[in-house]
Amino acid sequence: MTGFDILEHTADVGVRARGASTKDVFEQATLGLLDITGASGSGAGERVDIEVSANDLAGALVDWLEEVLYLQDARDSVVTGLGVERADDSGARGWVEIVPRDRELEGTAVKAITYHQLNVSRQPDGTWVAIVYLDI
Amino acid sequence: MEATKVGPYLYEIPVGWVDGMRVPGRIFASEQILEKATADNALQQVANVATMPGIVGWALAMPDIHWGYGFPIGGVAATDVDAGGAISPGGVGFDIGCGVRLIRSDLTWDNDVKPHIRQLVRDLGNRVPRGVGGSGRMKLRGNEVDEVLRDGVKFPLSRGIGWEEDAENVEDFGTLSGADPTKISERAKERGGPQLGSLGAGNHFLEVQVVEEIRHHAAADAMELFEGQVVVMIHSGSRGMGHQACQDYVKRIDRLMPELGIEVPDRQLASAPLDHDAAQDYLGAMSAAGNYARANRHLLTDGCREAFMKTFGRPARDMGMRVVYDISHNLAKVEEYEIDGKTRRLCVHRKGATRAFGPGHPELPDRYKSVGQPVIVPGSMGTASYMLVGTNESAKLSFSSTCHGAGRAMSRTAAKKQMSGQDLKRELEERGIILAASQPKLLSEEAPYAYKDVSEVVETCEGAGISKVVARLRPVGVVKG
Repeated sequence: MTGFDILEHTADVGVRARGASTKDVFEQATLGLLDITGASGSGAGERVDIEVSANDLAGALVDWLEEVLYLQDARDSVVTGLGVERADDSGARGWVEIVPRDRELEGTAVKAITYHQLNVSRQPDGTWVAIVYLDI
Repeated sequence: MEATKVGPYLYEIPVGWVDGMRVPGRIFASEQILEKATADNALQQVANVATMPGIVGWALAMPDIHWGYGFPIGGVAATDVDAGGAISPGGVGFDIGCGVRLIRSDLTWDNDVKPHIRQLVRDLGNRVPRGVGGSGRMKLRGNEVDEVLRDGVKFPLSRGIGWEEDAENVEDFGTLSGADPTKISERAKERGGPQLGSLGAGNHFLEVQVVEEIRHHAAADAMELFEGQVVVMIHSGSRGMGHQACQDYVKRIDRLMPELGIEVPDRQLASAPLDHDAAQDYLGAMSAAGNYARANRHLLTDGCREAFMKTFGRPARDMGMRVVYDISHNLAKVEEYEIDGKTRRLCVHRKGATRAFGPGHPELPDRYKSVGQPVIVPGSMGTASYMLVGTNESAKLSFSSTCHGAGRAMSRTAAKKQMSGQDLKRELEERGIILAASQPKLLSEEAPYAYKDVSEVVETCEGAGISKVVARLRPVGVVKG
């Protein structure tokens, strides 16, 4: 059940991520973001630790994804690995591995992470679902 | 509930459509456009905007309306600065100051450009940095990034780039007042600084176009446009600078909402009263990012003039490559309007909508005083674009606003499924449109069929009285991000 789907939107694009825990669902949402931007690669890279503080779980997801997007854009890099170690109402902590971008990306450029229809919730079966829209 | 027709090309949705609406919503639309907007959730977003604190008149949408995030695209909202009105960073959007610039020339399609169009598109492609990330045409040193944020197009001009008269034909004469570079985060400067002078990706482009038809001769004369003439249209924004600045302030204001006691139907609509520190800081940052966007289009203009000089072997001045106008379509501005017989200061949010002052407005350059402000409406790739002018009626109808483009009608995924990028490129070339694209596979995300018919959009604006069509332009060369 762990995974993500891309949600259609007239101008932008969304991700619906599923996971067994909040950590899983943050990781899947990140994979969804990378699937859209095409900024993923393989091999050992530079490990960058990420820690964000927030007032709620959904806000923490936006902040977390923003950190990943920032590394992609400001460092002109692609992501080769990631892990979320903590994700809760007060924030999130984890890491990504990045390498410098060495090719034109085949994905769609994402400008920012929006709060539009943002939702992270626990399902009746105990699993987690996150919905987040990205500005193209 | 259904929207009811209240005027030619004007529909209204009543208070109560969603909880907390303070004013009705109004949509400038033909029947067909309204139908699409209804199916697209966009009307719901117009109603959501009507809940903003201090909103005056109506929550408006222009005919290029479609589903956005928070605000609909094509959304306009005016809040009363002196009566608790709020500003919403999400109501300006992530691409702060994104807009369009038109550059004219003395060259004609048939005699001058047609035989060299492939070479010209290649030369433009080589001088216009574009696509994801990457670096722009201008390397900034030390604190120069702050000078760009404060001074807009005056910064590159001070370094000898561009022509002094260019600034006269840019909205606000090239510099938004109130810009405060200290309100922009280091992170935004880090993202945007290296990108200054680059086109970006997505729907941004530089197009070589031909003036196909003039419909308003006095205005076309003021803009120095004539049939058969070659012009260049540039659509770009504030790159990582604006994206990050918006992200920073949506986050800051989102966290303030419980303290401010403001409830919104969508978190992206987070807003703060204009007299709050966070709102004032955002205004300073937004104006700074707006200045960056103008400086960016100014640097792209320089690249465009260089390419023309390379292709045609003549100085750009000899080819008459003057700026017709440069206008943003993602910005909030404090403007004065008469409401119930009193002059009020309103903060007008335009998200995918263009300011369109009518003739005689004091903020217009002299050359446009008698005809009204030029409005540049880019069509979708491969279709027509339009030049319009503002009307005086628009001050009462739409807070001096009109459309900004064709407006999307289809998601990116659906557009890609319909045709491959390569096939689309071939089809456009068969129609005589030469393309340079940094991501050819993604071209069909921006295919003409993914957009509404731009002609219907501008004709709706004219029918509603919020702007007048001046000229129709058709593309012959496209440089895409």
